[in-house]
Amino acid sequence: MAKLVIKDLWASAAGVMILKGVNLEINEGEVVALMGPNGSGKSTLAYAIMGHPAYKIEKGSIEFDGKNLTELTTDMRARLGLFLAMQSPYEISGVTNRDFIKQALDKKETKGNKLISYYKFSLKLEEAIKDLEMDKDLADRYVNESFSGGEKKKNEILQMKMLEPKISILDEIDSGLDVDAVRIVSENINNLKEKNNMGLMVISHYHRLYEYIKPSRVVVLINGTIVKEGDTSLMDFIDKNGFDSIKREAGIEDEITLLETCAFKVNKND
Amino acid sequence: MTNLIDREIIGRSSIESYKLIVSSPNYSFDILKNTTTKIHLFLDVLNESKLFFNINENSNVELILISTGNASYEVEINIERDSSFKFYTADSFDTDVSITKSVNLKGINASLYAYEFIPSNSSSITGAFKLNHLYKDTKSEGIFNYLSNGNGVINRDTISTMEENTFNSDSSENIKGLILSETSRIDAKPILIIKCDDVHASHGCAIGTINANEIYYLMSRGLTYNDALRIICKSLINPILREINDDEFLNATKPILDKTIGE
Repeated sequence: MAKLVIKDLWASAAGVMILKGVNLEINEGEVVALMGPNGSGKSTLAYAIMGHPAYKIEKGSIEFDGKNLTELTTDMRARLGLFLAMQSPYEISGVTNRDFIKQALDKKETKGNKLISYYKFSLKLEEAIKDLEMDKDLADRYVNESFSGGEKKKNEILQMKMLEPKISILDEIDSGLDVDAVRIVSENINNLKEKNNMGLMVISHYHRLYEYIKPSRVVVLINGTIVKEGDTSLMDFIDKNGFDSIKREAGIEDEITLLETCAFKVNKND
Repeated sequence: MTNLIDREIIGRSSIESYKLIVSSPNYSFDILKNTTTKIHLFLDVLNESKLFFNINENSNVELILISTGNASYEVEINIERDSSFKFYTADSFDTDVSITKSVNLKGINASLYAYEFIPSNSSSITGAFKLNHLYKDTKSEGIFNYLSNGNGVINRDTISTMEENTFNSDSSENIKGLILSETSRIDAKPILIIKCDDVHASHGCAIGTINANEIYYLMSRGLTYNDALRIICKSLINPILREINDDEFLNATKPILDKTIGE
């Protein structure tokens, strides 16, 4: 059973410590909703798990299927069965979706020497495109180039469907999607989850997505630390009250408030 | 594939393929009028040479020119009225050379679509691509893609000239350069020389190193760094491969690309 285990993870970007001792487990078949205010470190956690070079692991460990991910390159992590659907997917001009996904799939399958035939791959791709109600010509367009915001997000899910990971991290997959697209994308995520018992870490600010993709657990990340965990009632609480009361409960002051206080103290000493 | 002799009259067959060892100073080729043809020309340039092509009126010609060797060369192409010319070219040289390609749009409704791919990982490749509009209602579009690695240097000018009385003519040129190593460089100058008021002309140039985010994105789907690098470099020729769907061009450019990337 695939399991992602994060222990006391500290990570920085450009010399600034963003994650400060994150502990989190995600099991196969489980949906974990990761919530938190803007700038709390949710995307940093996603990128740190997936080995983005801009994020430096300062301390702690990330294990997947018993392997220490911090010692592996991004592609190795992907081939183990991890997937990150990005908040702002990159455009790659001159490379078609079809070629890109085929190569990624071939790479994944190489271990067992069972490369998918081009015919079978095309059928699978066409079916996935149809499931996501995307334009048929999208397969032969360049990766994310001239895609609308919604098309880019659907394209992330298309890649996820094709690669069939064991655990996926969805970073604001619903931003830029209209109501119908949120439903379609969610249905596809749920179907893949059911089919493969895929585990999910879902990052979103909006309740609507969680109405479709039911979380098993809700965790709240504030200032780089997980401060609260609970069931879906926690999500309802946040929806009504925001994050302020959770911050107060955890004894967290906004960094801006702290800075103001420091400035005030300095002035006072003058 | 046949060897091409000096001064060849080409016409009317659908696809022709030639291999030419370029050792004498001048070669010239006439494309007969009312000809529709696709020509593959593989050059092995051993001495400094100049090639001339005359595309006579009302012809549609695709020329796929792949050059290798160790000496500089020039190509000059004249396009007569009502003729369209598609010129796909890739040059791969291990020694320092100068390559100049000049296309003269000489008659009304003459049109050019040019694609040039030059990679380099050890040599200095200089010279120019000249698009000369000499008559009204002429059209040219050029895509120039360069790739440098190792100690490779590419220094190219693309010059589009619109002479007097070239009313209603249109020219666009787009240059893209990808630098793979700290010791390689690409200098590209898109130049427009406009001597007539009523024309359309545009140019663009983007030269840079590999985008780390693009590499990361590809790797996050399971491709290794080298796979990701290769796929991004290949994106320089993919659009053309799709457009011309030509196996010989694909087979000729693949080893050139592999060599430049270092595989």
